[in-house]
Amino acid sequence: MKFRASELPLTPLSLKDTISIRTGDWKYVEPFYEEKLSPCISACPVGTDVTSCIALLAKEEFQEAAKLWKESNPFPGVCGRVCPRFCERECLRQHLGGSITIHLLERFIGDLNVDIQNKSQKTGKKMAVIGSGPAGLSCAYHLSRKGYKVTLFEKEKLLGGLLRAIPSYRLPPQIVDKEIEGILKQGIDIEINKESGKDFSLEELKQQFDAICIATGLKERKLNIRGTELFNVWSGREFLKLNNDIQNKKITVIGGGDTAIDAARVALRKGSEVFVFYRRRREDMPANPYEVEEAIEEGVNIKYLSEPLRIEKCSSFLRLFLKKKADENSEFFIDTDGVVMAVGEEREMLNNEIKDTFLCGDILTQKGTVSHAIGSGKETASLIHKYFFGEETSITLPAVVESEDLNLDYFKEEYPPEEKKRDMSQRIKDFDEIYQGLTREEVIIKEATRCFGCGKCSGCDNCYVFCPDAAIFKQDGKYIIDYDHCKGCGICMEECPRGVISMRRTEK
Amino acid sequence: MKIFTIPEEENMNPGHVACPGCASALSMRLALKALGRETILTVPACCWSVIDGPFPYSSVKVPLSHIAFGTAAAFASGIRAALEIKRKKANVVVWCGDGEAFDIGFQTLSGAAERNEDIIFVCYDNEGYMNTGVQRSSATPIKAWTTTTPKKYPKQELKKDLMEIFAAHKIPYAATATVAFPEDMIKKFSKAKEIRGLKLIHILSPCPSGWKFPENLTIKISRLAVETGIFPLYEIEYGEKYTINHTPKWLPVEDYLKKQGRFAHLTKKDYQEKKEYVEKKWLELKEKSNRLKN
Repeated sequence: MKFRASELPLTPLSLKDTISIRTGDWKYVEPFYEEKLSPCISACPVGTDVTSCIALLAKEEFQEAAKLWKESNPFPGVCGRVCPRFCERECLRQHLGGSITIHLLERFIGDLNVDIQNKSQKTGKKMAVIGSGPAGLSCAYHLSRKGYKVTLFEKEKLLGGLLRAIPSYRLPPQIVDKEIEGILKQGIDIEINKESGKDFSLEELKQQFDAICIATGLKERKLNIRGTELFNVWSGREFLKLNNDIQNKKITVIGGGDTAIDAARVALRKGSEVFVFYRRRREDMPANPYEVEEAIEEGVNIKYLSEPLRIEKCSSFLRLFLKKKADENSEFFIDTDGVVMAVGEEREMLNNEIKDTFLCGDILTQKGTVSHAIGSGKETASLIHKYFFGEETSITLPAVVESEDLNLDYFKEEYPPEEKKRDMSQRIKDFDEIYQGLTREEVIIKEATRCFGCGKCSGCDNCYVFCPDAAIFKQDGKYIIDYDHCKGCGICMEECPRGVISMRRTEK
Repeated sequence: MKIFTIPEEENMNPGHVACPGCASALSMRLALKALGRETILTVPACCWSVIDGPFPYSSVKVPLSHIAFGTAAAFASGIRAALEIKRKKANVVVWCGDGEAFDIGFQTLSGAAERNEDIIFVCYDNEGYMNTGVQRSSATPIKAWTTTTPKKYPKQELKKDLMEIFAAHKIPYAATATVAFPEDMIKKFSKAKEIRGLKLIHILSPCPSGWKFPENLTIKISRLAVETGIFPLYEIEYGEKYTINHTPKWLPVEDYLKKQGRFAHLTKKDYQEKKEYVEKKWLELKEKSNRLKN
C-alpha cells in the first residue's frame, strides 16, 4: 500500500534552531575571565612575575625566563641564595606535596648568566645614586633602563655594600661580581672611594645632577653597656670583614639576627668554639629559621633569654657578664677571647631638606632583607620617573588567588626534589658554598612543571569542554563567552584549575 | 596545556532550555561530538523532551523525534528497519532518562536487546523523575530523598543494576560514563558507533535541582561519584568481557553524599553501609574483569 504525502497525518516539525532563544536572560550572575596575581608574586618584595618565568622554564625557554626575571630583579643569583623566601610561604602547592622551591629555580636562572640589553630611549636626565648596596644598585639599574644617565657613588673600594658582608658559604663573591657587572653594563658610571659628607656634599651633587637618590642603608646599633670599646670586641659587620685567623679561640656572639648567625658560623669555620646569646626565645629570632638550625647542627651553642650586662678585661681574655631575662639576681659570666655584638641596625638621622632627593632601601623601609632593598630600589626608580614625567600611574593590582579559587582535582600530589647539600663534616672546614642548587633536569622535569601557575590561563580548555550550554567558544586562541546563552551555572568557574574565571552580578 | 581533548565539531546549538548546570545537556553535547551529524535521535518523555526546545525550535543539529513514553527502543528499531529498506546509513540513537530505561520503557528495551537491534541506547541517569518534580524511580539510590520518598521514609530499595541486566542479555556492548570524564565518554560513543547490535551507554547525570546541590558543582559531583567508587567506569562486551576504565582514588563516600541535599539526613551508619556496599560491588566487578584475562 502506498500513500501520497498529502494523505499522511500532519506531523509538527521543528525546523528552527534555538539560537534565537536568549537563555542568557535567566541568569543573575555571570562568569568572566580575570587573570589574577599568584600569591608568590604578591608576596615577593620585588614583585617578580614568578609564575610566567616558571612557565618559561617548564618549556625549556631558559634565556627568555632569565630575561623576564631580570626585567624586575637584576639579582637572581643573589636572591636565589639569600632571600628568606616570602614567596614559598604563600605558595599554594604546599597543600599538595610542598611549596615550589622558587629560590632554587631563581638560583638556576641566576647561574645561567644571561645578559639583557638596555634598549631604553635617553631621557636626558642625570641621576646620582649614593650607596651601592642592593637598593642603590637596583635603583640605578632600573633608572638606567628607563633612560636616565646614572652615576653611582660608593664609599668603599668594592661595589655591593652589605652583599659583601654575607659569608661566602651562603653567597660566593663571584656571584655578586657577575651580577653587579651585568647591572653596570646597562650604562652606569661609578665613583668608588667617595663618601657622602666627606668627599662630597649633597649640595655639590645637586648642582651636577637633576636628582639624587640616597641608598646608604642603616648603621649598626651599639649596645649601651660597659666595655664595648675594648680590644677584641667587634660589631657584627666589623667581624665579618675581619681577615685574621682566630683558630682555637672562644668567640661569643650577642644577637639573634642574620648577622649574628653569620658571625657565629664564620667564627666556627675559622676554627673557634662559638657561643651565641640571644635575649629572647628561639621562635623570636629574626634570623632565617633554617639557618639557625644549620648553625646548631654545625655545633654553634645558642643560649636564649640572656641579656648582656658588661664586658670586663681580664689578663688575656674578656669576661662577659650576662643575666637571665626578667631575673635580676641571675648574673653569670663567660670567659671568652672575643665578643661580637650583632644587635641589629638603626636609622641615621638625615638632613633631607634638599629638593629632588629620594630615599630607597633600608634607610627608607628598614626591612633589612636583600629582597626588600631590591624591591625598594625598583619602586623608587618608578617614583622618580613619575616625578619627572608623570608616567607610570599606579594601576590597581588584580585580586590574589586563594586556595579555594583553585581546583586541586586536576593536580597530582608531587614532591619537590631534594637539593644537594655539602656534608656537615666537610662544610665546617672551609668557606665553600653549602648548597649545590638543582640540575637542569631537576628544574625542568620536577620543579618547573609542578607549578600550578595560579591565576594565569594556560589554555587547558576545561571551560570550553564542560560548558553544558555550548556558550564558550574559542577564537584566536582565546575563550569567548556567549552571554546571550550563558545561564550562569558557574561550572567553568568551578572547573578552572587555576582560578582564572570569576563570577559577577549581571547588570540588568 | 590541554587536560581533555575533545572534537571541535559542535552539533548542538546554545539556547536549549536545560536548567543551569545540567549534566544531561553536557552529555548530549559531548555525545554528538563523537557521533557526528549522521545520527538520528529518538527521545521519549524525559527531561530532554523539554531541553531540546519549545515548538518550533530544536537545539540539536540532527533529526530528533519526540515520542511517547515507553516506546523508545521499539521506535528506534523501526527507524533502523526503515533505514535498511532505504539502504541508508546513520547512527540510530535512543536518548532517554532513567524513567524510560529502568522503568517504563524497560520492556521495549529488553525486547530490542533480545533481537539485538542495531541501535545505541543511551540512558542519562539522573536517578529519578526529575522533569515531573523529583519522584523516585528504580534508579534512585537507597536512602535518597525524593518527593515520593520523604526524609522520614527515604527510599528503602537498592538501585536497579541496569548494566548487569543487559550483561545478561549478552548485548555486544554496554558501558558506563559520566560528564567529569569527557574523553572517556567520547571514546565510548566512538566505540559504540563501530559495533553492530544493541549498545547500551549508561551515563550518570548529576541533577542540581533534583539532587539539591549548587549548579556549579555538577562536574565535581560527577567526578566524586567515580573517585569514591560509587559509580565505576567500565565496559561489558557480549556480557562476558569486563573492562574497568578508571581505578577510583577511593575518596570517602561522605565526600560525594554530603555535597547533596537529597542525602542530608544520612547518618554515620548509613555512610558505613554505603561504603561496605560500594566495596562489595567493586570486588564483584574486579572479579568479573579478571575472569577473561586468565
